[in-house]
Amino acid sequence: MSAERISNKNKIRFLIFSFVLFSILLYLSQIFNLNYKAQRLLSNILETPERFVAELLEQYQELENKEIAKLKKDILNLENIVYEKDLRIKSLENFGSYKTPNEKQEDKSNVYISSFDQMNFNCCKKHRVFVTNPKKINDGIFAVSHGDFAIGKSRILSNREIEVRLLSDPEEYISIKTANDFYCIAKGEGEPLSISCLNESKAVSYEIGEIFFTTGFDGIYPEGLIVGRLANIENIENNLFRQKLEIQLFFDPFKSMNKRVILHD
Amino acid sequence: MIELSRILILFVLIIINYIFLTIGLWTWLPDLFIIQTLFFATFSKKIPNVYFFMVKGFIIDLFFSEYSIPYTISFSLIGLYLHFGKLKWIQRSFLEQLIMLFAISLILNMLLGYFNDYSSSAEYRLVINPFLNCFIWLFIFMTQRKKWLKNF
Repeated sequence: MSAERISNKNKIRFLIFSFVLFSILLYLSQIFNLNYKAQRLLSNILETPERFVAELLEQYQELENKEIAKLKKDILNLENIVYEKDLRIKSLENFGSYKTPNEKQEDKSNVYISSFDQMNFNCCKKHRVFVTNPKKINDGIFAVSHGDFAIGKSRILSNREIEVRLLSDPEEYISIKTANDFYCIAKGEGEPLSISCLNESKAVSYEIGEIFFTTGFDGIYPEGLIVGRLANIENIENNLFRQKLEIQLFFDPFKSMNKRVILHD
Repeated sequence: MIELSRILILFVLIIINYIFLTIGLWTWLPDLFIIQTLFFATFSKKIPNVYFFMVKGFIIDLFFSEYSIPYTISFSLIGLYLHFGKLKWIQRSFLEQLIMLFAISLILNMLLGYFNDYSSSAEYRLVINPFLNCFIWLFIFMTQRKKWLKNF
């Protein structure tokens, strides 16, 4: 019942070959970006059965109780409409407090959010959505918005889709300001629907509930896109003047599927 | 046939692990791939060679890690340990089994944490997961040891 015995010479040989194999595999995965491709493939493969199961469940519910299923469907539709209207209201509210640029790009292409990387959004500080690429753009960096609301920045472009890094991603920075001309550079921290920035001085006042807009200074986001609302102000220890501002983003990726977006050059 | 079923099981586990990650259960559950390997080592008559373990780890890394390192290294270590030892896994002392399982779970989770930027809630896995994996082994050991003793 004992395991197969291996001579020391063979053990050394195994170790050397293992090391060589490991190096080759690691090299190949890095050169061909295999990890990213495999993860996208898995996500795309599982999206179809996910929708199929959702449809099956819906049909089952319909069979079970048509009235309840209809009401649930109505609730979902209404929630979707409320989210859209809510964004619209916020957008209209802010026309008064801040002038959105008239030269806002009129996007005539049909760019939609095709996929949301929920796995990495939940487990990791990697916040990404994917949008369609009907014009087959394969070069450049674009700011992406849903109407007047900033979403994030394009990262990897392929013929099929464009990966968009959300503002809440830790690698994402954005220059923002309030209607009172308080400026700061905010960054994502990997926390859902939230970004933060530090005040440079207390010369300009700000208060909870104030809306932040893009400044256009970063050269990527156009001026005047709505970013979010100041949700919390945190004092920094041992520094009387410095405060950390937590900004709650308006764009919700969980409600973003199939929504039309704009790519800004 | 055995190899085919092993590959199929691996891909089923990859899908289940993906679902756990998506719904946020991954942090609070034992590592599916380590548990599967544990079942292998316990119930399979022939242990596959080191390269099989390494490639298996590599495939898992492709789907769940930024770099192909955490699972590849951990599974290579498992392969080397199982392959080089004079005794089979179930012939080793219970304490040694627990220590080895705890150590490899800890190494795997440390590597995963180092090479991936996990959210604050997912970081609890480093602490929870080794204990959960050991608990699963404790359960297998308690329920199966009489059968093993009969076979000896």
